[in-house]
Amino acid sequence: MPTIFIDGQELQVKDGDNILEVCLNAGLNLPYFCWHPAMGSVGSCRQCALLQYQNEEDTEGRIVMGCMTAVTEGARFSVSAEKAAEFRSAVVESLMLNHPHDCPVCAEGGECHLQDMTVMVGHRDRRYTGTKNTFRNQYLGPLIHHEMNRCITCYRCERYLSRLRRRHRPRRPSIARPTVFWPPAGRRTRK
Amino acid sequence: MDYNVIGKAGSRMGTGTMIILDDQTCPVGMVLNLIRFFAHESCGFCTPCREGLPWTHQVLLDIEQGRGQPEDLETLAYQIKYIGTMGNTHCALAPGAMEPLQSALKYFYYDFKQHITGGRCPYH
Ligand code: SF4
Ligand code: SF4
Ligand code: FES
Repeated sequence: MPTIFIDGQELQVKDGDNILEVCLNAGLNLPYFCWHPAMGSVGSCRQCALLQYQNEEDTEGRIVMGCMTAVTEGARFSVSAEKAAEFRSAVVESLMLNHPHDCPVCAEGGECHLQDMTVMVGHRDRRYTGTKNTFRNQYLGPLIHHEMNRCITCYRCERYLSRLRRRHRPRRPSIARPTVFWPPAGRRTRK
Repeated sequence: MDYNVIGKAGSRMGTGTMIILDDQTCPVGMVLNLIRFFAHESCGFCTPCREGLPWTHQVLLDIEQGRGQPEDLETLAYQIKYIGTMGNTHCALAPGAMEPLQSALKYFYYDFKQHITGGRCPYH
């Protein structure tokens, strides 16, 4: 069982875990979107950032993604470091650039992972003044309701469809794999 | 000319192409064009690049078209740090995209300022 340090706190951790799992198990507030206990890590949302230090002398540290960093003996991290906290807040601000601002009338309001993470990182005012992207929803089979205008690109729908529920995937080949992430940001039409 | 020299000057070798501009060409417009290209090229996999580059594009477009606000320069500096730091994004596209912008802000700061205070591009 490797020993690691998070904000000076010594933790005995399970071999093979990643740092995000360690933090969540230890009750630390590290936000995340794309990691999922059943589907693992992809490192796309960049939300679970924290600082990793090279050694005891290193005071600068560098940003790493918790879900993409495996535990190693003696590794040192900080969740509370300002640099990491600022970055996590910046990621939420980015995700909200194209997300509707209508929580009070949204069906998820009050039990929404995005809301929880936004409150967790403390982001409130955003500076973007442009228009928001709009999309058409896709039919992703009977098990997934697709609401693309609210998509924060966690890839969970795609991973769920392509790996876990082969049996329940829509039959039509054109929609057997969602193409939610196409066209990429720069090529989306802005209204 | 080698990789290190170009790196120190705040750009990347890329394909080894050079674009030479005369003093009649607006540096803000030039960087706007580069950022537009990179926002278009972003694969969309990770958040800072997918959302951040179009945002940077929008801020630059506002400045270039004379709608810039004084705080836009702070926003650009913030975006350079947030999107342009290696490790913040999944691959090197986003930091590469921000490098010309950060060197433009360093060497042509006055041109950015002029766009904002004058409310138009001083080059045309
Ligand atoms: S549509 Fe898919 S990728 Fe987008 S937020 Fe929902 S599950 Fe995540
Ligand atoms: S930084 Fe790389 S992986 Fe991330 S969206 Fe941009 S091109 Fe894709
Ligand atoms: S949860 Fe780690 S990058 Fe998305």
